[in-house]
Amino acid sequence: MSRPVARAGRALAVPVLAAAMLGLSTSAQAMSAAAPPATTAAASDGGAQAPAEVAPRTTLSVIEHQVMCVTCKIPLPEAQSEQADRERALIKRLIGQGRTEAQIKRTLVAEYGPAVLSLPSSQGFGLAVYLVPPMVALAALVLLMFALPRWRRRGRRDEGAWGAGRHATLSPSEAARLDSDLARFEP
Amino acid sequence: MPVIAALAGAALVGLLVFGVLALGSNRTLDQAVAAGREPQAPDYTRPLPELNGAGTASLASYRGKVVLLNIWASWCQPCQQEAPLMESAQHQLEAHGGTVLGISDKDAAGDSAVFMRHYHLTYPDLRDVNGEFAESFGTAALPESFLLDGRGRILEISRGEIEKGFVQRALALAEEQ
Repeated sequence: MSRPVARAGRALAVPVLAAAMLGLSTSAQAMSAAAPPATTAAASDGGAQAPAEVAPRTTLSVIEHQVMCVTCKIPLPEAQSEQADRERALIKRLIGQGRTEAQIKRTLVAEYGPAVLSLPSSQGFGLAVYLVPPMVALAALVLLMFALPRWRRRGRRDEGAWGAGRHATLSPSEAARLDSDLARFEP
Repeated sequence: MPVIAALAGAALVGLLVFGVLALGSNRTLDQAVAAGREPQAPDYTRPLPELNGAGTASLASYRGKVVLLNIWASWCQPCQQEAPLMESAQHQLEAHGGTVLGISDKDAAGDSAVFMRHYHLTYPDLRDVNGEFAESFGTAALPESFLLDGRGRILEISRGEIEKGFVQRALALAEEQ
């Protein structure tokens, strides 16, 4: 009875570990995407006043990958709709005006609301997106730290008990029959 | 351990159910209107930015007027088709103390303004920047229109392009009030 439990425990360890790794990786990605890029740190005018006809400071591709199509609710690079085209046109216009990445994102939020960003803000409730996955991953790791040695001990104990009890349950006649059967397979 | 696995499974199923329910459109208002209950317009006092102006207004700002509330966006083709009918409705409603009230849903202000100019729309428009106002009305596709009496109660709903009959009923109501 305890043997399948130990096996199930070991089997469960794989997805739990995978989930923990995924949580850490997702969180790391989210943190890196949420952090303002170095080029945008100097932006302080809130995107309201940007000179026209200046060198672009970012690209459509860079912005697109951080933005959602607000009506289709899918990432903008994958969206093919009127609304998505409008969003792209606006981004292109803002790039043409020399706006920085942060300024463009602020303008997009002002026009379409916070849902336009693929990743929520790292302030307020949105912070949960960045905190919860590492916390879950950490909890899973702690759980595994305690559970894995127990599963191992239980597995060894079960194997030992099974090994010891193997002959104990055979009667002398059964043991003799087993030996003769095994002998038939020996070369 | 089986208990934890069961709990995790239940949580996953719960999440799935929540996702399906959250994605579905809310038809509570339609049911109430169909039952003749004349529900109060949701988000009645939520302030929304005016498209042509720096201020905000809410549905409550139009208390006492019959309002033909039209939720739209500039990219929406049926909205383009019904725009002339909306403007015509505005002229008639205005004469009886009512108004068409546009709510541009998740639409860039510049795009909405171009649309209004292009179709010579003269009625007021408020911007639902994050789409929450439209969501509270159960809006799933554009355009959608709602007929509100002077107390902000919803008398009729049109999910999709409106028909002349809808405008006529709005006019009749405005004449009554």
